[in-house]
Order: sequence, then C-alpha cells, then structure tokens
Amino acid sequence: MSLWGIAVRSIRQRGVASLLTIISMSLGVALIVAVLIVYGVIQESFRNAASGYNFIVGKKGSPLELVLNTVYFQGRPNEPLPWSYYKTFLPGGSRSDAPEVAVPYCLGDNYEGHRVVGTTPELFTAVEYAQGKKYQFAAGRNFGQAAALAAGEKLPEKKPTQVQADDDDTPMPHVHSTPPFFNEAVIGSQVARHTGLKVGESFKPAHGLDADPTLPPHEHDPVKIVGLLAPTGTPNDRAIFMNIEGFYLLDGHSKSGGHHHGGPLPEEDREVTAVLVRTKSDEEFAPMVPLLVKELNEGNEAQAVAPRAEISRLIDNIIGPILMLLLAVACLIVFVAGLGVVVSIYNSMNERRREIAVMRSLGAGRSTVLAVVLLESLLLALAGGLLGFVIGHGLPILAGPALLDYTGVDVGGLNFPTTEIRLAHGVLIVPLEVVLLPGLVLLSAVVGFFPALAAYRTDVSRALASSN
Amino acid sequence: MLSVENVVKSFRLPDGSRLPILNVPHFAASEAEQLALVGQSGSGKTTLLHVIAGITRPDAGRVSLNGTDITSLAEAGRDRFRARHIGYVFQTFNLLPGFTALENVLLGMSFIGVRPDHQRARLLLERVGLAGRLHHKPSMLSVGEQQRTAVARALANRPKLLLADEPTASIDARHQQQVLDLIRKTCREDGVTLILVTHSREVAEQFDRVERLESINRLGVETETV
Repeated sequence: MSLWGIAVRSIRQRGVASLLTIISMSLGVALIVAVLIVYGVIQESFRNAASGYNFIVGKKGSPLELVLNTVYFQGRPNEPLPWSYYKTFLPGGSRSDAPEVAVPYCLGDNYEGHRVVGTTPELFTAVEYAQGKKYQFAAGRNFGQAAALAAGEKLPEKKPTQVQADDDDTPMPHVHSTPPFFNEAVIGSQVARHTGLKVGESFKPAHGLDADPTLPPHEHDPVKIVGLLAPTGTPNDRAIFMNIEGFYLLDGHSKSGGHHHGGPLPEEDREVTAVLVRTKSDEEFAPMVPLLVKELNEGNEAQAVAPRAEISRLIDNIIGPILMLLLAVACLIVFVAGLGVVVSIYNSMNERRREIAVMRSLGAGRSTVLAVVLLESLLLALAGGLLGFVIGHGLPILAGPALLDYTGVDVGGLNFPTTEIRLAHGVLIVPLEVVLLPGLVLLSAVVGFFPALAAYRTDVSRALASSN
Repeated sequence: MLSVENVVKSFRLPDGSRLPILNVPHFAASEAEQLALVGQSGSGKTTLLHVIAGITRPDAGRVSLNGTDITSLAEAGRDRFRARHIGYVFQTFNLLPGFTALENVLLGMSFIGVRPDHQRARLLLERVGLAGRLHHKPSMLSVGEQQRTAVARALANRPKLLLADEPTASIDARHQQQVLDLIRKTCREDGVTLILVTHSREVAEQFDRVERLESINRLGVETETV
C-alpha cells in the first residue's frame, strides 16, 4: 500500500473532522479565487471600457473626471466645448492629420437613470468596444439616415409646413417638426432589461443625469428606439445613445437657448461634452500623436486624456490596493483554515500515536510516518483548494446574471485571471490559480509540520505499551 | 538462529535515575522452534520482545537474527530489518481501524520497499479463515477474527521470527485455542521461529520449550513495571 493510500485512509477514518477542515480551507481558497476573478474582471472591464480610441478630448479640468463621466457615465460631465473645437478633428480641420475617427459625446440627460448620450452613428461603425470586438445589434439597427436606408427603410414624405397668418392672434400649437431619423436612439442591453424598452418603442428623455421624478421630461417629440445593442460587458450597456442631431433639438440643448425648429441645429449653437479620438496607426502619423496631445493640453480650453493611462492609475492607486487588501484578508482566512488543519491533525495525534506505533512496529521508519502525516496535510489542503476553486468559480457563475443585471459587469465565473512568470527565455502567462497551487503545498507543509514532527518523535515502546 | 547476548536495558525515570529492566546474559532460539515465554507482570517480557524486534535498542549487549547483529544497525536499518524478517502479533491486535482486513495485511507489506502482493495478502487471509471478510473493517470483525487478521499481517512478509505478545489474552476462551492453533500451525508450515509471551499456564503447557523470564533475566522479579 502506498503512502498516499495510507494517508487517504487515515483522512477517511477521521471523516467528519477531515470534511470540516476541507470546508474551512475551501472557503478561504474560494474567497481568494473570487477576489482574483473580481480583480481580473474589474481590470478587464475597466480597460475594455476605454477600448477603441486613444484619447478623450474635453474641457480643461480633472482628467480622471473626464474619463469617469465619458467612459463610465459617473459623476457630473465637464463643461462643454464648442462644436467648432470638435470640427478641428474632422477632415479639413486644423487637427485632422492624426485622428482617424473623432466621435462627439453630448451628455446631460437621462431616462430612468440611464444616461442619454448624443453621438454620431460612427460610434457603432468605426469604434470597437473592446480589442477586436465590434458592436453588434441584438435587434434593430444603428440610428441615422444611412443605417435606415441601408435597412431598406424609405425617407418619409415631407409634410406641408404650417404657416400662421399674420392677422391670426391665436397661439401656434406646440408642435415641432423634427427631420426624419433625428429622434432615433440605440439602447444598451442593461437599459432594455431595466426599463423594458423595446425596439420600435419611444421614450422621452429628462434633464439631468439621474432619474428625478420632480423634473419634467422634455416637451419634445419622443425618441424612437431603433436598435438594441448586444451585451458588451462595458458601461455602454447601461446607456442610451441618441442621434446627436436629434439630441441638439431637445429642449435646452441649444447654446443660445430656446427651441429650434425645422432642421439641424446651427453649428454656432452646438456644443460637445467630449470627443473620443482614435488616431491613425500608420507609422507616418504615429509621431504626430504625442504632438497633438501636447498641443491640446497646452491650451487653456481643452485637455486630451489617455483613458487607459488614467484607468491604470485609478486601478493602481485606488482599486488595486483595495483588492490587495481583500486578497490579504482572504490569504489570512486560508492561513486560519491552515491552522484548522494543524488543530485537526494535532488533536488526532493522541489517538494516532498508537497507529503510528503499530506502523513503526511493522517496519515503517520515522521518515515514513512523517511523510504520511505531511501527505495527509497536503491532501486536506489540496482537497480544500480544489473545492475552493469550484466554489470560487461556481458562485460567480450562479451569481453572474444577478451581478450583470446590477452592475453591468459580466463577472462570469470562467474568467481565469492570469499572471506573468518571467523565465530565462521569455514570459509565461499562467492562470493565477496555478500560482495558488505551490502556495497551498507550502501551507500544507507548514501546517503539517508540527503533527508530522509529533509522529516522527513517537516513542514506539511507550505507545505500544499504553495500547496493551 | 536468534541469539541474545548480554542484553542490558534500563529506562530513565523522571527524577533522572535509571530503572533497570533487563539483564539477559544469554537467550537463544533455533530455526522453526516454538517457545513460550512466561513471567510475572512487569518482568520485562514485552521489553525483551521490543529489544529482539529492534523497536528498542538495548543499553548494552547484542541481538542477532540469522547472523545479522540487529543492535549494531541504525534505527532506519532496524526498521527495514524488522519489516522484512520479524512479524509481531499484539495482545490487543492493533489493527488500524480505518483499514479493512485486506488493507491491514497489505499495510504489513508496505514498508519493505516492494509493491505489496495483493494475491499473497488474500491467500493469507483465506488461510486464517477470513476469505469472506477481506473487506470488513476491524469494527465489523469478532475479536477472534481480528486476531487472525493480525496473524495474517504478521506473516505477510514471510518473516523468520514471529513475536507474539500475549496474543490470546484478549480473546474469549472459546476462540483462544483456535487462535493459538492457527499461530503455531502457520509458523510450523512456514518454518518460522515463534516466541510467544503468555500468562496462561494452559497456553504455556502446549509448548515443548517454556522459558521463565525470571530464569533468563538476572533482574528477575525485582523489576516493577515497564
């Protein structure tokens, strides 16, 4: 019979104590795995959220605030920039050499707490939401005339303009004629889930950033939902994207105030909260990017912020330490569970002294009985680790839909956070759980050492005499 | 075959003094011989068995089995030697409770450095009348069956010497003779030297050679406890 077999039978013999030890160990490991998953998911989610563009241009102010309100729809948006500033990034503009895509963002409205973003259709056609991942429509289409025509829709016939006679004193009814396809929106998957809105239905956005029942909705044409985005696992799932042309025509969105009727808002009345800029990747233009960023930041009007750098700073300085703290607590729990293994095995040593003496009398050496006890400790730790691994991944799988619904973050459960191990000939990327394994082995060796030492030192004659 | 020469053994007491247990000038047993060792409680019978088995090292003297000086071996060497050449049967059987009868016999084969022979373990258990009890744990066996399992375990590695420390003392009268017959018969068939410690006159009288420990141990009955 192998030493493993002897260790396994010894564990089975103390079934309840062994099970409790395994469970306490597994809970600690599950916590570590869960923290690692959350850490990995948060990192990925944060980084993915700012994919598809190099930098964000906004009004001078806090760079982090600009990133948070543009990418994550958190906090108050910065003051807006004039449309003319945005136009400098477009073809023919003074800053048009380096940018490949420049997408405007207008913020300030919400629907039932979901931010309404005025933007252009390019957001979904020219920008990826994550590395190599293009936006997909779960239903419907992109907003705007081009997408509508591509979908086979026809331009509506023009209605005759209502003209008021000069001598007619009765007030004109409050009716606005919005150009076709202006008042269209695409909603994120979480918005559809929370609000129940469907493609083909309409809604009226409200002023402000959060749902406030005391504020009246815009008294304007309702906005029609023409598309539902497939889930992206980014904050965009929680937002409503509206044709910027229609957005400008909502109440109070004209710089000069008042209503504008009958066509697109004139450029001098337009403002943008931010501009998402993706620069050309060609070598020819690459050197121009830092120059462009420098030039933008040197002025007093705007700032250019690399969102990934800001997010990395945020993760490294705030979220990272919090998660490290959680990880430390989880490690402490595993250590305490490890002490449980010590207590469990050590408590059993009295009754086991006889068994050890019997094994010794059958010819087992001191090192053999030491190895058996260490193997027991190792098996308990590994069984606890395996169970912890299953629980650590299983819970996020079970809780995934609820978490996705609540946070918009797809925690999954099959996310395997990885770490880099530097080798002589390169870098090996391995799941963090693989790194946990030697940790568990080391822990089992440490906690198993004292009972093993007691086994090693067992006085065979005395133990056999006491058993007779 | 077995030779015990000038063996002295004492134990240290908590106050630092030493309690002498054994002083055996000479004791021997030949190959396949069966002898009963009798003596009063505390006369050092078990200690002598432990010294012969190499479990305890004597303070002085020499124990040799088939020409191998056990006392000169280091502890690990004595462990290996014991595993290969000496079987041990205890009064309280000392089967491991978490192991089945078969596993207890296999355990006896686990420390000689070769893969345990399952076939031999089964045959041994069949030989002691436990063919239908291979997968029963000790708690499911009668005391007689437990001791028979212990006998099978002690013979697992084809030992040259079997040390039996009051093997029938914990068994009811009905099964005592069965177990004793089993031990003697299997030792005879396998050519194993048997030293059986007993308190029982009835048991001792069945052996051709009976040694009183008091007669071979110069310390006689003066010793109190082990």
